[in-house]
Amino acid sequence: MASGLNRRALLPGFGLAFGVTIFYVSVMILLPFAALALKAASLSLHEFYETVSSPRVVAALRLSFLTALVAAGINVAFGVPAAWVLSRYSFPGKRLLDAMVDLPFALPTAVAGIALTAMFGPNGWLGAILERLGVKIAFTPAGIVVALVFIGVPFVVRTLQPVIESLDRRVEEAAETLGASPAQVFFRVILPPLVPALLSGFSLAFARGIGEYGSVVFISGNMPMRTEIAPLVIMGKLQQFDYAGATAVAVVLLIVSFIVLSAVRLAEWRAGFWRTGAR
Amino acid sequence: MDMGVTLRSVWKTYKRATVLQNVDLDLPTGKLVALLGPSGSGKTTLLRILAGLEVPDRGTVLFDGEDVTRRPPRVRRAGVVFQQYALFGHMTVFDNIAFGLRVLPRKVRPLAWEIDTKVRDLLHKVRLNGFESRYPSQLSGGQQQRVALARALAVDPRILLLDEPFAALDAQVRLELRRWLRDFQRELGITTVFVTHDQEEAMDIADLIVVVNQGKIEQVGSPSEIYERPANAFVFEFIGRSNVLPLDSREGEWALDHLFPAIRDWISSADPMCAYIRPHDIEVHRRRDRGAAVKAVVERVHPHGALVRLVTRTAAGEQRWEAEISRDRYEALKVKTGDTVYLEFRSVTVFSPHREVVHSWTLDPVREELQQPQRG
Repeated sequence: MASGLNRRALLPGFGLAFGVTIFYVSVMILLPFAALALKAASLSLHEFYETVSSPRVVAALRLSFLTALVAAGINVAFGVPAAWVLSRYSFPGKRLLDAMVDLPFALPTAVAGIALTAMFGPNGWLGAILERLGVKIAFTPAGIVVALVFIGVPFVVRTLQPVIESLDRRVEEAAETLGASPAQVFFRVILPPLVPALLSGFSLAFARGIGEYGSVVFISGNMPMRTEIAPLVIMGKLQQFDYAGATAVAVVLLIVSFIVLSAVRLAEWRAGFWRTGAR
Repeated sequence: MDMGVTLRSVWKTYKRATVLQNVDLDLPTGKLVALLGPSGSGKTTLLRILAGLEVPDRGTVLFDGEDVTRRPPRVRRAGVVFQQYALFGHMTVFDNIAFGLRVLPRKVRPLAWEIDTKVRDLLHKVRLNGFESRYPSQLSGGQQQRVALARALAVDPRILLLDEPFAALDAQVRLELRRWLRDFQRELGITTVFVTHDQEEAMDIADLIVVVNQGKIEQVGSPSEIYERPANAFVFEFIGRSNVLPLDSREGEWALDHLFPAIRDWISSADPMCAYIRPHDIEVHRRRDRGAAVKAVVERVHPHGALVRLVTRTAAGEQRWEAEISRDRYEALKVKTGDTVYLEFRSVTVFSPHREVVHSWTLDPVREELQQPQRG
């Protein structure tokens, strides 16, 4: 990849910029994590294992990861057409729709949770209809997915939009003149260049979903073993002044997140190799 | 059966702007045709209509007598090379070229080894052996263009369309590549249309030039026809350098009286005319030795290889004349800035600047005889 050390830089001092970056990442990200690890280290290895392998914690961790993955996947599936429409077409109300995409960013997540619960709850207008059809959303894992989809929308749309805007339409026309059907144009020509941005959007939405708390607690019902997410387990331990136990769960959450994000990042880099030609 | 590509009274309008008005065009099979015109003349729209990327509002497009006006690009088999090449950046050179074959329906799709053979053959033809596993971003502009060409040729197109094929290349590569393209096209014998705004490019390689202006075709002809017998003032001015003398000006009146009195009979005051003279049709003298000549002062001297370009201004100061003389002549004359010279016109063409009414006469005042008037 491009080497920052050999090229003459435009901004003065790679050294200075690098120093600032290291300082910033250390203070804002590494130090808090170190404190977390230190706290967790106050447990013995056995105690640590006992804490994180208790059935309730395992269930919560598994629920958190699964719902975050499903929600990020749904966001990718719907984010592509949404980003496509917002960047390719002009229509009345486009600016409004575009601004609405960012709303989940701005809204306090608890407000979102209350709103979603009111809508999907057994007495909510959508929840009542679905209940008659035998579908339960609120107080089930499906409700958690709904909340995580809501808060993850902007990540996929906003990472895809600039990439779609930068696509050259002539490339699609070229594919058309070469005999490709609309489906072939989409899957062979449009989609592959979007994959790196899709993976970025996916990992952002996933990471956000793992840590999400506010919007989930209202709609999930927080039943241990069934609809209790990992951040809630951590909160519960904190409320019982079990700081070491809380950090132990947090450390596991972080490590698994880090592995998943790294894997996605690697896939993203591999999918974008053609930009530089380096494999 | 009607062979070749034909456009019949094609109209195209975008929003309220008319881009093409009533265009009729016959492109003979196997020729290299240049669509030449200034930017915004409609030449690219014409190309896109041929490709099927635009549908004309009215009129028909025929390929070998078959009406393809409403056929989408994917069934039209027109190979297109776009201006910025529009290569598939995430595919290797090989995959780019193979694309048109791999998207064919399974029933007619060649086998993998057949595709492989065909792509390698094309790579060889466009002189890109050994580049098959590179990505477009790793190629130079000229190489990318040849990939785009090979990709378009892979599907055995009925017609090859190139949009400003040389515009994005360095001057050196451009010259080399256009000569190569001409030879390549002759070898393939496929009807090829390219869009350009560069008259020199069109003159250099095209068999047939179509001059387009403001959505209309001004003239169709071989490069020499276009240059020697331009149909109207626009073509004259667009092809090569020119001096323009409005005949209703004071200097124009003087020229009518002393230089080309024979034209006088053709002029009516309702139809203002201009005399057009090529710089190389102006003879430069140091003294007024015979006949009538325009007295002018040399303003600038530009050497251009074997030619020297003199920019002069008439003594009255209103009209500027640009003359092109050989270096030998220049050295014999020993003219420099500020010198007085006498200009003699070898050939004058008179057009009405009104585009709808076009008359042209070419005369040779040196021999003082009026040539046959030519109707444009």
